[in-house]
Amino acid sequence: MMAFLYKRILYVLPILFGVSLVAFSLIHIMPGDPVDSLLGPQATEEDRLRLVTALGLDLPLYEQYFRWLAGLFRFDFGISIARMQPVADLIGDAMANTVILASAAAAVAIVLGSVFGTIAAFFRNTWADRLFSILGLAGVSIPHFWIAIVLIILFGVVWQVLPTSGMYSYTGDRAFGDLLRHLLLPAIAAGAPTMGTMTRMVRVQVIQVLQEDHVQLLKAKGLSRLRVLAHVWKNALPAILTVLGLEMGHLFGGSILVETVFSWPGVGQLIYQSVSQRDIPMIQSGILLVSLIYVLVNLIVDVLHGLIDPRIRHT
Amino acid sequence: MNSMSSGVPSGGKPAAAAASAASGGMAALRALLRNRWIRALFRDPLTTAATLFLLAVVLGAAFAPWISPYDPYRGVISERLLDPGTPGHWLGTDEQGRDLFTRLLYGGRMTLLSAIIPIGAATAIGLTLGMIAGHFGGWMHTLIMRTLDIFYAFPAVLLAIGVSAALGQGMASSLIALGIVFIAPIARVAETTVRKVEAMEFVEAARAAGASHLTILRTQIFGNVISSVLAYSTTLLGVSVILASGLSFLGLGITPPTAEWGYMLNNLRNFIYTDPWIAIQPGVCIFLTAISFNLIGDALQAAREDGN
Repeated sequence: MMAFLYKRILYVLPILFGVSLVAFSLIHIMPGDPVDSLLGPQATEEDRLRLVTALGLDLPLYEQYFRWLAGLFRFDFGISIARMQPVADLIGDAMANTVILASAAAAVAIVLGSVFGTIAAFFRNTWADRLFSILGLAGVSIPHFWIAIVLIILFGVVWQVLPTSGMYSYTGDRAFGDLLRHLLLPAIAAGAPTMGTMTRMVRVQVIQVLQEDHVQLLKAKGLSRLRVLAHVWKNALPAILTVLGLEMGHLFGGSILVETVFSWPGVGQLIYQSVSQRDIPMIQSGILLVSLIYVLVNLIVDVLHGLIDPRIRHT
Repeated sequence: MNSMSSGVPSGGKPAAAAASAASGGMAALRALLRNRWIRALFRDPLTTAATLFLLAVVLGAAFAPWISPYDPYRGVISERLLDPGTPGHWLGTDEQGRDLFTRLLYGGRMTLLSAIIPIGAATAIGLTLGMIAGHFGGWMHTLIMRTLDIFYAFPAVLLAIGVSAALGQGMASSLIALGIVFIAPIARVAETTVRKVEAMEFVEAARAAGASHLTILRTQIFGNVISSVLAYSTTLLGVSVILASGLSFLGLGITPPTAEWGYMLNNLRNFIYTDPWIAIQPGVCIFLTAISFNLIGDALQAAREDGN
């Protein structure tokens, strides 16, 4: 098991290096001069030079890269050009909010997707299968930024039962219940595509396992449906877990669009605002951190996969 | 009767040619309807509906100027935000008094193009990279596939936003951004298929007969890989529609005042409190187009699996 773990980590390291390289170079091909947009038209040439030196923009590219990389290891992500605050502080707060949203969305997606997919598989080729298959298809086809707007119209405008913006009410005391009420709609919107993928995936996996001989035997032995279900799920789990790991990227990435619609103060909204402000350190570190989390989640999924299914460890 | 029997030299030949062309045309049509890919498009009522809807969107986008009498860019200020069902504007008008149906027709052009072009380009590039990696193996395989792994490590939306932000606003940067997003998954499918095909006896035989790399790739491998890659690429079209319109929803793709569904949705979002029925329409178009692409993708995938 330890050898397997080391191998997975060794595999991930060059990927992380590549990710940092891409995140760094993306921003350096960006058009427009961040210094110009920061200083405004009245700035003198001396002001300009001072800022360029302060930001380290006069150094050769590779030196800028290594300075940035070295900073990352000290949790020093630089200073946000637009906000003049440490990037680490800004991203830290926003990341916590995004993790809240993404976990809630994942919970919605996992619960609904597993239930829908399992029902569809168990009652294959009945109306229930058709209904949940279409729901799954609708889930993978729905633009989350649009379902977000539809939810706001329904729950915020027509029925007026749920808040549609931000994380807490202005008058509220930041209570947990208030957070939950604010969280519900964004979580559904951000989770819908993953719910769709999960439904389709679980359905296919469960159908496959149901057809295997040992399950046929369990059924023939007269095991109750629920007991059969437990066995089937145990066998389908590894494949489902892998898909879920890949879907974490969707959940994090998709929350960028959902966050902008719901004004959720997360990383997505922060990156989006930084793009229009040409806030280089902010975008670089934001993209890097989200991808880092994505890679780590997939590493964890891989390791879990190895724990559940010993065959994986030897491939 | 007379002309048919006696007029052989003058009119007979063209008539016979026309007749055979007509019967050839009918035969071709019948063959087309028997084709398993075409049949898959009409396999059940839902897939048929999806096919017809996409056909309507494509035709509507192509012939927009002939279908609608309105200018998509010039509105009448006194006719702002008319409700759907208003005579003359059956889907209503937008915030500048422009006919919404017209805007949606023209918007379909941009959305379809910005979703399909990246898939086409990524298919060509991904197929090439996957074939090279799968066929040659060794350090070439490592270099290509490990580099693609890096692009896998970014969530798709984030990568698309990053690239199109880096390249600046405009349709070109959105096309490039989406193309980059799709190269890695397509190349992986191509590479896996190549390795499966490479293990088969006919490739071994070709190699033993002394065929060059290029000949083997062209004659033995390409034909086998292209169908699975194309089937996979079709399943990506739905995602591509959503991502493309998502980028312009964020203001990163197409520049105003060009009509595009994502951009229109973001604009009309300001009016959800007063005119929800107007505001949701571009989103309905994105959703229906994406679900239609996905239904067709499912059907083609199933047809391909049945074929094997």
